Amino acid sequence: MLESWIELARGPLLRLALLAMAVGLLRQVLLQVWEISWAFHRAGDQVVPWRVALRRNLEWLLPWRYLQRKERRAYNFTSFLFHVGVIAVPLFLAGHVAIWNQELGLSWWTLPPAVADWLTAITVVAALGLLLGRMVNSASRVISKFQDWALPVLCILPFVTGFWVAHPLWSPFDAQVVYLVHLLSAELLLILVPFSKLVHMVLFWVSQTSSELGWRFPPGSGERVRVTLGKETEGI
Amino acid sequence: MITDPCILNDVTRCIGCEECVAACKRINGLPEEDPPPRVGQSKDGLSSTRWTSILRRTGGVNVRKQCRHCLEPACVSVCPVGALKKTPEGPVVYDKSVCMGCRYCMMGCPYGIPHYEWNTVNPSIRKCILCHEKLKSGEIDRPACVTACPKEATVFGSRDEMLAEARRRLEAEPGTYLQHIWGEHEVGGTSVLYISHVDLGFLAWQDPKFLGVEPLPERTWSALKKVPFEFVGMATFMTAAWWIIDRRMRLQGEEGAGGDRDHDEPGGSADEGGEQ
Amino acid sequence: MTRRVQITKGILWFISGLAAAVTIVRFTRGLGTTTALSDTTPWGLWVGFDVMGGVALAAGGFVIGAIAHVFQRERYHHAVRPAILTALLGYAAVAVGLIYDLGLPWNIWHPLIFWNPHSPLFEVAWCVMTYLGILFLEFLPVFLERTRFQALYRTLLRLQLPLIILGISVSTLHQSSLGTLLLIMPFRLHPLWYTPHLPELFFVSAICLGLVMVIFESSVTAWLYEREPHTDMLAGLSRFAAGALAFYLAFRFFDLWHHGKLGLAFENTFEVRLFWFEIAISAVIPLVLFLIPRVRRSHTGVFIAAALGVMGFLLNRIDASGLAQVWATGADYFPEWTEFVVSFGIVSFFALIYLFIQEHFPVEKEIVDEEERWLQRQLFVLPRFDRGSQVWLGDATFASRRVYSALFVVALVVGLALTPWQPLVKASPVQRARGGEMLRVGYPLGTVMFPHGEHITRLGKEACGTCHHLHKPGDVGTPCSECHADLYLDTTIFDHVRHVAVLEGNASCAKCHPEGQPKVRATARKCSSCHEKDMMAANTVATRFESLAAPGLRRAAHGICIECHRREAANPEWKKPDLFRCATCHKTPVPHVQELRLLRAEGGETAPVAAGS
Repeated sequence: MLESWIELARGPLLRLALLAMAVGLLRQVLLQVWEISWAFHRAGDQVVPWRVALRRNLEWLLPWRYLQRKERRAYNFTSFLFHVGVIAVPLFLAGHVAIWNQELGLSWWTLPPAVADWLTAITVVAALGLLLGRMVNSASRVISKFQDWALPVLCILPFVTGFWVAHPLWSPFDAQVVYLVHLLSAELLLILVPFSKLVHMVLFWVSQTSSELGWRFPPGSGERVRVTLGKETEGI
Repeated sequence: MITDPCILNDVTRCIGCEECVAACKRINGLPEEDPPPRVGQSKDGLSSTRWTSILRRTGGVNVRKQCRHCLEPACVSVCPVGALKKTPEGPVVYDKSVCMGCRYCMMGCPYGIPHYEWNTVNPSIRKCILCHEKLKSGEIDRPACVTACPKEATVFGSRDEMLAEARRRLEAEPGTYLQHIWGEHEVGGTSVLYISHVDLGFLAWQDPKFLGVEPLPERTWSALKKVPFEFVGMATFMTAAWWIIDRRMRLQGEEGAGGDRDHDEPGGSADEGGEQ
Repeated sequence: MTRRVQITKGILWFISGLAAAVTIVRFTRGLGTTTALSDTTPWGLWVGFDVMGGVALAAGGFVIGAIAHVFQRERYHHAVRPAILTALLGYAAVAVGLIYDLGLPWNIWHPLIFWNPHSPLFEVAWCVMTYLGILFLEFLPVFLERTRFQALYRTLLRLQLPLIILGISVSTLHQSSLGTLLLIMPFRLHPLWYTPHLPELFFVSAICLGLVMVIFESSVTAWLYEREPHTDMLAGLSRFAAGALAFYLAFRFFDLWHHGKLGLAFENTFEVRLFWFEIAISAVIPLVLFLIPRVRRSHTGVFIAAALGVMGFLLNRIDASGLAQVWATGADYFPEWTEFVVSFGIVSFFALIYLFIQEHFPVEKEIVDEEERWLQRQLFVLPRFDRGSQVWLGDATFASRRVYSALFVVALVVGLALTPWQPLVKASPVQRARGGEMLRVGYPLGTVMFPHGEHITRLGKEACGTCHHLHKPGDVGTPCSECHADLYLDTTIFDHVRHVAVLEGNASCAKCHPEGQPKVRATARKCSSCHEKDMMAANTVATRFESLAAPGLRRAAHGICIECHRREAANPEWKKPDLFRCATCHKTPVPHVQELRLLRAEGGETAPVAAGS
């Protein structure tokens, strides 16, 4: 019984989750491109500071400067570690590459098992740290919404279960149950990507670029940004 | 190649060995395994990979089913692009490069002969072509199924010869056969004839008596040949109607009636009055 | 944009998304995977609804054109542009529907260069192409009205009347030719529908459907955009419709009487019930409703009558091209859900285009003006916050775009999850046959009678392994049906859970899955490497036993029986007769459709049953 569930989760469901993510992300990108081009079309000043926008994006992708900032240094550093793990482990774990190979016929460089284990552990700890940071800092706590709490927890799940799948002897639960939870939680996460704030994995350039271009939008837009952010009481 | 090639099937002689089926598959390069039948498909055994089949009837009667190569084939007449053609020699053949896959031929065939390759994205109509190309090139002198038949239950010759042969057999053993040659007259005549000791009405969707002897294409052509006249007639009628109405309305306008143009609608005012 | 429009558009986008998913499967896997069509029923919902129905639904264009422009009834001018737009989109939808239905859709243009004037479908293809062009020219002024191409706009307006007359003539041809299409199949179509006057009947019913469709559509748009319908116009159209319906009924029944088929209409069969149902909802009920003056003036009344008429005449087209043919073919065809999704998806997609054009071009001036005022207001409305997803939706146009696209994407993914990727094959479970003198094998049971006892006597008890090539653990002489459990479909015979349990738990993985390789089926050991002892060496299939699935019984049995008999016949020393011929085993008569019909009518047998069983 469990066996057939795992077969389902590993084959059709995985394919479906990846597909949902791809189509959903495509939708987000198209919407944003459309929206930005409209905004740009209506903007008073149509000069695009390409260089600034590019630098912003690069800085965000390789956050050297952010890490050197004084304020919330620990939080930024934890966040960096978390993102490294969250990207590297799913993509470069040997077992996963085997699946990509089987499903898509693609194969690439893999992490040595020991490195993967340590990265997994670091990711889990970093995620817990981020949650703690969010809880401790009052400013963060106030602007946090439900998904800000739920998503990190959901991120931890496939990593913990994945670790147990790799080391069944350390697992307190039945191996097949753990495997199924691993698959299902990862798939849920994939499906949620385009429909939650995780969408920043493809839309980061929008937030980074709009912060440069946004001020060129028509009069009154600043007011609307303020309302959107829920900061009606503060000055612009 | 002889003109007007024709197959005569003698139901009384068929033993149902399916040698003809195997030979047909061999010469046409068809796979031995047939695709699983689709839901609701009639169980005559024909499929896109089996162009002839043996229908087994009660009492050990075996009837071979295949394309009848009608003298005036419905499938050829309905094909909008002419992918199915009646060759000058007689067999009805198919040209994949022209076909667009509308499947009208399958609907139009009274015998349910053309079959389709449902499980591919590049499907063709498949049916018996009376080994046309190989016969024409002289590679074989008779269709593979006829050559394979061990009992002479299916024989080959020109249509006149086969009709003569059929009559000869009917006369020689009047007690054995029903005195009827299936395919001699039905739907204008076919190039695959049957003589039998049982009624063969089941080979078509409907009894041959129901189909009649009139070629099926006549039925559509009698309507289609009126098309140019309909077109001109309708255009003339509409133009004339417009001209008359326009003129009448202009005259009314000159009379200074003005008012509602809809006034002249027959029964209109009475209806409106009745409702208030 | 009213709330109603937004909800409607959401639903339409969702259906379009489902259809998009099926589209992918249709064009990568073929018709067999997405339709329930078969060689017996080669035309299904896509022809009956999308093509036959679609062309007839779009008849409003030429009917209203005739009423308003040729007969110059001023009050129906409101209806002209929406009717022409419906016709234009309707014909485009027919073309799209054809692309789905054609087996080789990339050859759809072939009627242009390969001619067969004897084919009604050729005539229809040409007319539809011509009429699409005419409709486009008729509608082009709407696109041009508020642009700077005023010279072209005025020229087209001057050409309006000739174009409309040309359109009417072309419509007359192909509306009737759709009836001609069916003239070739007197053997398929039930006599209550078949008549030599099908072309004329189709033309008249197209006029009826065109009229009720225009009424239906204007009451729906009025409801959607919350504005007053043109009561006068609708009442007038209802009167026309009543006349057309009365004529249609008279024509149809006169035709039946004339051909002496009126008696057929009072038998108690499925076709007769279908006939009366169709007549009732297409013509009789709408006619009665339209004849009541109070109904003609009531929006609800007109809407109900028109909706019934639309459904009724659509049913008429579906009957003629399918349902009324079951009588002859005895075929079980019910459209797959994927067929419904595509049909409704095409309608939804074109309805969205219809609404878009209504909102952005002066088709009905009230709608486009109201839409522009609405857009202006939106510039001063605060962005909306969606509590469910905790997302700011931006201004209302952006918000609706987000919602529609999300609905589309969700539907697309759901559709892809649900759509089958393999051809649809009905499971044909095999009856269990074991021991005994004579085994009745196959589906229906007894297709093949296998002389089991005779084989044992002739070959000796030791020779069981010749056929019984694999035993279930703890069993001897396991019957064929145990693994080859379906006549056509493969059956999985590998049980992972049981293997794990028997091989002592998780530690045993390496017994099948080599270390360092992913633990999947592809890399696991071949079954035969362990199960040598459960297999018999002396049979023809032993060497093939490597997969985890058993092939269907037909393939398995043919493989083992035919090969063995052929080998024996080929050996001159054995002097065995050529028992590998089909007729050796297959003796059961094939029930033919006519007999199937009789069987059903008499005994209420639903499954086809061989006469031999």
